Amino acid sequence: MLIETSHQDIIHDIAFNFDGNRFATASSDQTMRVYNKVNGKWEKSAECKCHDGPIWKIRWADPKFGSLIATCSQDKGVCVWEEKKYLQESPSGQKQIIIQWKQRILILESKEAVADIQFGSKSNGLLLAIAYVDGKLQIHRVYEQNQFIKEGEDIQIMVYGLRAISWNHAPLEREMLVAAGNAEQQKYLSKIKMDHFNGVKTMAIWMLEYENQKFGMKKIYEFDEEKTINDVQWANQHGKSFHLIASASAEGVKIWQIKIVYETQVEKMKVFNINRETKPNYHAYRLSWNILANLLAVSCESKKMDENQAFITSREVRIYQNQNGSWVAKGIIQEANFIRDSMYLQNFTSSGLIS
Amino acid sequence: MDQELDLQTSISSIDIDQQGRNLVVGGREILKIIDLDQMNKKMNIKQNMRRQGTKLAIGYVEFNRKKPTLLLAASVQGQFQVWDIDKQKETVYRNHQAAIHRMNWHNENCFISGGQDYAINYYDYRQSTAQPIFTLQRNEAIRDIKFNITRDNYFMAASDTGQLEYFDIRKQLENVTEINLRGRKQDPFTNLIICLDWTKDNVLASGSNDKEIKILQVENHTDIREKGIIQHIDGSSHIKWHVQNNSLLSVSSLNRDISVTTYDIRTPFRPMHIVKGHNDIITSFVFNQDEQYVFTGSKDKYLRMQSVRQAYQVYNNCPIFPVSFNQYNDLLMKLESPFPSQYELEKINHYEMNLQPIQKQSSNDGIYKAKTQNQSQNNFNQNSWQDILKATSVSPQNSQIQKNNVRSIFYIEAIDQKFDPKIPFDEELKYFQKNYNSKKDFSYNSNVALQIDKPEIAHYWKALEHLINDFKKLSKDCSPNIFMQNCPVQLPNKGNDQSDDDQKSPLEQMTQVTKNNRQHEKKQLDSQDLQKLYKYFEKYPAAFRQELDSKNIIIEDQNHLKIHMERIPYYKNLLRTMTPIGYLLTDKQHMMQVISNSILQLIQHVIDQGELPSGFWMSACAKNYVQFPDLNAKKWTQSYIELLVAFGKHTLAMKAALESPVEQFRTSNKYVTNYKCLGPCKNSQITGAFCNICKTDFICAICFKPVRGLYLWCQNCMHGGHMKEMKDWFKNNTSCPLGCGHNCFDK
Repeated sequence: MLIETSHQDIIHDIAFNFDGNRFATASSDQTMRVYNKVNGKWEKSAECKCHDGPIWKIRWADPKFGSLIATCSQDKGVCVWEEKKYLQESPSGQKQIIIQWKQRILILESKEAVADIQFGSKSNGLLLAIAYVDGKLQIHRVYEQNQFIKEGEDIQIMVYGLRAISWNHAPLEREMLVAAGNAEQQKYLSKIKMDHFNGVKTMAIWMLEYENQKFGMKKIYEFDEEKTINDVQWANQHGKSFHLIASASAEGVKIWQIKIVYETQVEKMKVFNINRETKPNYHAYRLSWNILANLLAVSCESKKMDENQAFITSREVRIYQNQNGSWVAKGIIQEANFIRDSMYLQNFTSSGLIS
Repeated sequence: MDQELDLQTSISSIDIDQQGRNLVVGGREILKIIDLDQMNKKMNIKQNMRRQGTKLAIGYVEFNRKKPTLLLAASVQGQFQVWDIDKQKETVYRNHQAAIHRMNWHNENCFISGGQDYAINYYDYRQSTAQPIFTLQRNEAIRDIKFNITRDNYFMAASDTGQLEYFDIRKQLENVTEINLRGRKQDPFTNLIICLDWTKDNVLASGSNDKEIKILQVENHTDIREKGIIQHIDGSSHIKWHVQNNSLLSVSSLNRDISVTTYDIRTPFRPMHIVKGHNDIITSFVFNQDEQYVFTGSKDKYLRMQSVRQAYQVYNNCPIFPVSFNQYNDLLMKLESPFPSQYELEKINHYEMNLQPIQKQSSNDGIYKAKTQNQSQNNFNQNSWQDILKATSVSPQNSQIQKNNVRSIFYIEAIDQKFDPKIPFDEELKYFQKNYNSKKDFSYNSNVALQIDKPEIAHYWKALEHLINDFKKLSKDCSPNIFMQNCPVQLPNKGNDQSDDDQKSPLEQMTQVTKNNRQHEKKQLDSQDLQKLYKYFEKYPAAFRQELDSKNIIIEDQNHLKIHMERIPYYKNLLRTMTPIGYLLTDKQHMMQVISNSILQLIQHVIDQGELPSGFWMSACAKNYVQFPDLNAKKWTQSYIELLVAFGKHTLAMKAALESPVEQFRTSNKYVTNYKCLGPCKNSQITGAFCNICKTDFICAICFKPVRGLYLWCQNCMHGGHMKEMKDWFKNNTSCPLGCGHNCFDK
């Protein structure tokens, strides 16, 4: 099914809500849009201008805390939006529901753009982690009166800048997140004066700790990864004795199987390289686990040579499935294919898609 | 390549001459000429023009475009000088009463100035007296003033209130036309225009404090209309069109952001690249002749030269192409014209220049054809021609393309069905339901698992049944004699009525433990027991070993379990987890320990395979016989409940909570996915409704009295109260009565 968004520029992120019947999109055109599923069709329910720059990521909070959406942008701000519904009586006496998205919080605390935001697991209250492109991380927590309060100091998590973070959502475990970033110095962040490090690790697990009631973060594990990571996702644990973390880089996708022992120690178990067959022209961008963590969707770009010796890039989404402990490619959805599919589905006029 | 010069005072304006040889820097205490070494790309201080003892703070400097030896330097005190660098001659003008904001050369000899004292003055350098030729008195302070590059008798003046006025120098007193961009009555501090710049095609960009950059097209000298808006992330302090590609616009920020950002007006939302490096606000910047380098002057007292080529390419580092699953395995993905990386972009450009620079139909679309300034001088002619082509013909088309350009989201429903029709989720949910109904019957559950085509799970149920049966028999034989050290699985003492076990207090268990210690003696196992114990080990593993040996045989046992070749690894795992190899079973207690360990490992193994529902129900069925370690059982239950809640199966989640192997979940009258106390203490040890530490229990959200009878609560925000109160509340309201902000009406 093709959903026309009428966004005026690139869509950077899509996120389903907890119930799976709504999704929100974030775009370069500085707006976010919310879609509802009504009778099997997706309908736009709201649109608002959030930021003064491209919006990079969009996230839903757990419904326990209300309909909350957080957006982060190149303009260095993080916005939290809340949906308000009102019952309004029309003159004829019928009650009508008015839906409004209101900006609840605007966090403008950094000199750098925001790379990623993530709500923490719901059992620990409403928690928002903000990752900045210069490698700093902030934790904001809601205490009373729905105010986000920054905890502790900014913590430099990655030397060369952050790209993505993901919380561990497993119950009964400490609050920890995996952070991934750049492998080399970004020109953009020339202020960092570094000694010459060889092989900076680009992925690590950090744990929140409260020692003497003072907030801090501790690195408990460093992954053996030295490439720039585009995206990292911590899978739902679902009672398993181990955790799965997927990371996407220019080399493809890796799935790391780790075990957490004694609450704070991490034991590495296995690494699955699930893109062996398509090396090396395969660049993975984004990842998404399904809820049971047995399917992994990867969006990637592969380069091929055509007759004219020119590189042709094709974009596709690959689906991997866990079968008996190994990861098997289940399907590849080529962009060209789904353009065709959607044309078939929607009777597209020729003016639209491929122009 | 990059270089920085410490000038020891804050820089307010810089300019470069037409040939790109000299750079002038004006600031609080300096006016310096800086020589640019073309070969080595270096900056050297050439000449210091400030005389000792004079206190001039230079606010604006500008070279004459046609006579590079002439230099304007305006001070903030309302006087300015014209320097003739070759002759070392300085002419001082003192005509303004207040600060001069901007000046602009008209031609070789004439120039214009605008300032805080509401006056616009026009001068001729050749005149002997330092007096203006004419003065225009306006109503507002003039912020910026710029001559149109192509029609040099016209100039635009921007005033403090956001008004633009277009003048013809020949008519002197009358303005040709004016456009009020932001309205006079609005707040002057947010909408004052700070800077202006013209392109060759009569297009004006105006940057202001309200974070918007407006692009204006001037036609026929009188008609000014808005062509577009670029939303910048901050107010703009300086704005500059690129000369080589007239759709590129660079802007430096006024308040918070410390960077020079370049936009392409055809894609107005995208910052193309960003040059950073300063520690304070960038007040002014210029590009060198081929626009390969940018010179930035900042309040942090440094002058920097940076290569544009190495600037931060925003869209090479941004998240693109998102994918997203929901719990029904629906997949969302993006469908739009892909954004070409810088590299490809150059390639495409190159390609087309070789072919024919007419129209770009073949590639993705025209709007991505942003020209980079990385192109070499060789292409310059072609480039400019292309630019002209674009400027003349494409501008209306561009907007059309942009509208036609599809930015959609592709939605695939239940993607796992598309690839693997064997895992329909509805079936799975039915299975949960069936499991619940037949909660203690292992063989029934095994059949259920078979029905939904999960033979491995069916087999695990069978194995569990055998384990439990053996365990029951063993525990009957030596009922009170169970005490195990270092055993992850604790065994409850077994009477004949197993239903009572859970209600027994820890105290009672303790006494039995002490009794155990007293009676601690080892019994010899009789052969019959051993036989029983090994029954399941022998029966199943033997079959599998046989299968492993002869790999082509498909065995069908009495339960019609089809065991296929590809499932062999499962059984290998199962064997490894179930039988501790080499373990000498001499003691009944040891045996029971082994069995209970095996049960735990079996269930953990099932869950590790991703079969949490089956695993949970296995533990729920076995909970009366063995007691699971608290951590594991809690984790399973909570994960399972979360899973069910995610699918919206609230009633089933409640039933699951009641069947949980953890007592805490069973006794609470709601399924608390939050195992911690919801009150202020955040205690994780609560059992049931009442928190012993912060002394709270279920309090009605409206009358704040404890609820004794029916408790009605929102499934999502977990707030609720008396049935009656809630009914009354939701007759007139939609949101949570406690004021948490959740909209309970939604459901």
